[in-house]
Amino acid sequence: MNTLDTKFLLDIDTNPLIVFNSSSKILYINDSAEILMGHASKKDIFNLALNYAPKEYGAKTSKIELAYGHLNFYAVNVGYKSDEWIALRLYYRPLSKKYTKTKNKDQVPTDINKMLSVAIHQFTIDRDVDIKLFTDTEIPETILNQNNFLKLLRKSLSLFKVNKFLDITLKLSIGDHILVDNTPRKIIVLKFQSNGRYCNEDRDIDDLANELCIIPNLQESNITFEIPLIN
Amino acid sequence: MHIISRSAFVNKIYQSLQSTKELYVSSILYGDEYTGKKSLVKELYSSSTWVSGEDLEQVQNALANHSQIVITDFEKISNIDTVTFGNSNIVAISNRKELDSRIEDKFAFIYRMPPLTERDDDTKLYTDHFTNEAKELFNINADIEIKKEYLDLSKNIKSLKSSIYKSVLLQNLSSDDICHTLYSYFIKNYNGANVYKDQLELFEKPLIDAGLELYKSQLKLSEVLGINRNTLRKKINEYS
Repeated sequence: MNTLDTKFLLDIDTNPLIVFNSSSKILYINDSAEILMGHASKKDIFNLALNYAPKEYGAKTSKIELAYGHLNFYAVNVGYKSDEWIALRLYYRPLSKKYTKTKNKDQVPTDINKMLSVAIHQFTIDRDVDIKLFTDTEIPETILNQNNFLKLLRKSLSLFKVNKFLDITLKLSIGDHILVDNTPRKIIVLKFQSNGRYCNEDRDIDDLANELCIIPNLQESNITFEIPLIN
Repeated sequence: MHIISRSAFVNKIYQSLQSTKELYVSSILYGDEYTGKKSLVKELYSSSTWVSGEDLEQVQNALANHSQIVITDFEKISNIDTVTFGNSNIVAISNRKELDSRIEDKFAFIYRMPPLTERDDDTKLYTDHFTNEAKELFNINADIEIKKEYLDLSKNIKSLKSSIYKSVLLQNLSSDDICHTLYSYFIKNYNGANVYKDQLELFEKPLIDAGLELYKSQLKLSEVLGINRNTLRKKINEYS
């Protein structure tokens, strides 16, 4: 082994690793932790590190059940060697959520970007919402029931109908996957974020998402869908 | 695009339907009767399969055998649970003012067509259109202005058209036409013991109203009419 690229190894580690300074600023975050931060607030994660930090310089592993969205962890390891920084690693519980996708003729290759675009157009017909769309236009087509997926988008958007602004992000998640028919599938992440929302359609959204093998995560001011990429 | 609409809102509905035309999606366009729903959908779906919700069997056959279907009178489908949308592009049209949740849950997209009372631009557009149409039909060349209060929007485009045709026609009656019209009216309403007094209002009231609008003063009008001003005042009070 001529050179050991430690940073690269940390970057690709499937367990999230985050290093904060004393004022909670993130000094380092690996790819997996980027995914975690889509489900948890920076403040919560920093407090977690402080709560489980060892009393003296060094590292301590604690067994603890944690869930952020569909991400489940069974332990955390917190370490520090000075008062300048503190590192937190979370240990994934083996993936528990599995889906069996019922194959039927109503599922067709679908361009998620196109679906999102028509849903936003329909939503803004009679509303003046400042929508910022951050999207990866290279996302490949995935097999979906288009009608039900558009219904899911319509219902989700309607929860933000009185909001002044709405940020929508669509991207392919790196290093994360969902098991569908025992096959690991890449995940397309769709997130609606604002400063609050209605909750009246939450149950329908949950049902529709599950029917589509999509993992919903409905929070106070945001909704995230993890859509398996099946092609 | 050949749409008889100036409303930005209606054009957005059109664009939205257009953008989903090639997708496997079900949409419903609902709202008052005679608001232009069918015309709007026809612009995009003239070559698709059209069926009416009155005939459930026809609807089910279309859903089983065609990929692009327009279902009119959707509210008339007797048992909505028997209708399932597969891989088709479906546009349903309903004359309901509101949709219940069972219908809403069937569709990915829901559009409400606003009535003409909420579409001033379209009311103006249709008024001009029907006025020209009526002028052509009745062979009238003179300019015609139709007062807003004469426009009937109670049944949207249908009642608007009817009120405009009536207004155009009435503004261009000759004295012979008026005599003929009154004759037909009197034939049907020659009842009671004071027919002369009862029906005189038909002649006197519009004569006085028009005179007041033209001359503004009762004194001047009494001179023009050639009657005593006290008599005129009495008649104004009587008909007001």
